[in-house]
Amino acid sequence: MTTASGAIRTVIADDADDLRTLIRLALENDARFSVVGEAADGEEALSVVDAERPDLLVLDLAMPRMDGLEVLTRLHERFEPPPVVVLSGFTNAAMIDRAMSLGAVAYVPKGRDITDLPDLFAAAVTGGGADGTLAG
Amino acid sequence: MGASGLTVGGRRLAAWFPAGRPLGDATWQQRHRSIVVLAWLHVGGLGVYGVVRGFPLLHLGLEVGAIALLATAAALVHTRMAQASAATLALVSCSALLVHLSDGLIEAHFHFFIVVGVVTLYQSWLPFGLAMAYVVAHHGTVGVLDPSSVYNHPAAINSPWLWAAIHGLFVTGAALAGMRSWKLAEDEHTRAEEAALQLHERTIRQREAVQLNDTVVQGLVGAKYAAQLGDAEGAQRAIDRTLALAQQLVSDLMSEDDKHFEPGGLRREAAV
Repeated sequence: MTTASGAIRTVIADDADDLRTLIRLALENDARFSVVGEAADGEEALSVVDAERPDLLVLDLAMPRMDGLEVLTRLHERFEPPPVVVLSGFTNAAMIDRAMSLGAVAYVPKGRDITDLPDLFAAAVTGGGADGTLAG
Repeated sequence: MGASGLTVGGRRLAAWFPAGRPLGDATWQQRHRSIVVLAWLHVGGLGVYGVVRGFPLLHLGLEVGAIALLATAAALVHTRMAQASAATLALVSCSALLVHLSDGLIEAHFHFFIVVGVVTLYQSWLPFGLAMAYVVAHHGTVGVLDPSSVYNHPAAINSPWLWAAIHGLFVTGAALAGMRSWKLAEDEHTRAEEAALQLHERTIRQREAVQLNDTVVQGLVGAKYAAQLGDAEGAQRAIDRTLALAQQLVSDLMSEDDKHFEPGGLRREAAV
């Protein structure tokens, strides 16, 4: 459910506070996005998604209490889960395949420029542009 | 075939036999307890059988008593090998006594085969060798000196050496089957140990990969993102923090392996 302005309502789940802040700043600088929630672990991510019903979940993988792969599994037990873009420091093919097989629509490595993230996330939500796998 | 060919052949032959690796304490204790219980059951059973067969009580008492002493020793002596040896001698003496009490009944000799199989549960050459040596000594001495107490048919009584050899052949067959089973159990145990070690190493590697991700990768990403958003101070803080965490991680990893503190332990394979 987008905002009245049509912005993509986004939740950011990452246990690194400073990274979460930087990603939020990058998205809030882009009119296409509205950050409606943040989470520092997987359990909190599920709670925030249930409360906010966002258009997009940006999801880290290595997190305390519940990791990103567990979140992906639990999300797809819900009716109409949001599209999930995994944003992770892990770049090995097996991890990417696993995340995609669990329902992520895209997998973006944390080494990508932060200025590229809004375009990548927007493409993942609309289903056009970048394909679902590791872009670039 | 030169010396190297013999060595290859010898190695192949040796590989067929078990190495005799010690069992774990819990496994060994469990098996030894069962074997000692079996020996005590025989003490009771042979005593009753001897009475039924009409043997004098003193005669029976001495023979069964000797086995009881061995079974007691098997529970009381200190070392594994002493315990296993006493238990083995107790059991194989039961075989000999059964043959004696039955006046050489051929079916009683089957008990020797069972005892050889039971003794291989120790997965050790000493008790196994003791059992085989006892069978050879029993058939080769008692069988020759008093053949009617060991055999119950004229052919064997008249040719005790020949029939000792025939019995020996079959006991050897049973022994070889027991050894093969022991060897396969050893190999299975080795494979399980290797799999457990690989799993342990994989778990450690995964934990270290996550630690590196959480410290170095996340930290560098934070520094990069901050720099790209124009936050130079934030980028510097992230770099400093990442460097400190990475150095701590290196220290923590190195403390698990003292080799790095010896001359040569820091030698790289190639320049960075």
